[in-house]
Amino acid sequence: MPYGKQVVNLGNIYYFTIKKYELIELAGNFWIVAVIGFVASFFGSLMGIGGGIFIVPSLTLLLNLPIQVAVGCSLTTIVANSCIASYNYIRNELTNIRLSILLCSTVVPGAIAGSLIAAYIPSTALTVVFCAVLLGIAYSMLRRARKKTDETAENDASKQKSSITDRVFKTESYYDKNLRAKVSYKIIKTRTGLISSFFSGLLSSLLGVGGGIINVPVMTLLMRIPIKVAVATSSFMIMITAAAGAMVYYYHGLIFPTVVAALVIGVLAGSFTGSAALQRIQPKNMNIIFAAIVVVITVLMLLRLFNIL
Amino acid sequence: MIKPGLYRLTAGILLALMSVAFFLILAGFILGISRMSNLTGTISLGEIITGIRSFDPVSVIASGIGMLFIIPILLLINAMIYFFKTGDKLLSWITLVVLVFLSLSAFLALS
Repeated sequence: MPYGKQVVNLGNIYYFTIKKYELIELAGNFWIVAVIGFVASFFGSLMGIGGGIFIVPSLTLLLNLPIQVAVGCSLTTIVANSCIASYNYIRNELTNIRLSILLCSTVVPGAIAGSLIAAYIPSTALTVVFCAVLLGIAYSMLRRARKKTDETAENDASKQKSSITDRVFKTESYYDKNLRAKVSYKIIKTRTGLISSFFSGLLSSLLGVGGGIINVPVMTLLMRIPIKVAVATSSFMIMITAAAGAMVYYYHGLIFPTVVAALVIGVLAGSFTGSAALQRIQPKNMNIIFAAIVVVITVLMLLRLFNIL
Repeated sequence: MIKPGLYRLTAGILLALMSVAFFLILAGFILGISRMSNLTGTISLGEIITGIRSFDPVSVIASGIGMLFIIPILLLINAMIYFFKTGDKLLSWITLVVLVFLSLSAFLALS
């Protein structure tokens, strides 16, 4: 019998809803999941890290789903979300398909390893790892709020070369619509990129997050790739990584199609709204507010873990 | 430097498959609102095939999810053929390795 069928019941949501509203029909749960997807994706888009980091805690805290199921459903939603993002980036020829495939040679095994580990380790351990990563994200957001890093660092490709770089990549370029010019760049430190990609894949499928939070800084700061290309390439990689991880979760019976359907609809609406709102919101103090939200979520998850909540 | 042909073809495949996948997920969601009595549970390939015939919401959604999983595999096959045709042997082999790993996951999901 699949793991999900044994463990999951929505007892808590009945309890939750009956206590507050006396009676809510089961069909209403669709909308609850869709709203969770919308809110998580909205905040995720505002923070520029995708919605996975909020979807997993929301599903575990509000719907009382086991963390493995929440991660599996979140990964499937990430595939859908990154498909749309990748389509836009590929259409504008921003994605470096060569680089993404090269990095996928380590990120995909990492994703498969992560999902296999997640299916076998206890929920408690997975929750602790998730909370540790959440705290790390909160810390990095606070640091980002204090000092703004220069993401357009000088491309010093001539100083460092590796054999893979020389064989696969020559000088790459993309057309920047804002600058109205072709921007050339040379990729360096491919080996570092390959190693970090493995861990990005591992973490992504272990925790049900996109992995962009690792991919993009590695590409921009270490491999000296322009930020636009890094975001587009990361999005393409996430689509492949999340699919690889999600398929293993499906094998273990940890993906519930109906939860995914409601999530996908909410997440797509949330990411469109979040991206639009991002253009209008002033970024001042936003990182501090989001860091505080992430810390609160971490505390709630830990309280649930120790049966205090 | 990649020629625009690969980008156009990749974008085309992505749009076509994505549209079908989202249509199936949305259709299943709409069917599910009226009929669904349980949010939980997973479904096997055999159940999906028989379920689609009777417009079972879970089967329709699961086929949409399956379509989402197929997208990266087809995009990689497309890229591998492109790299092979353009004589980029190293990258076509790397793509093949990635494809093997993805197919392994897909095989697990279907088994």
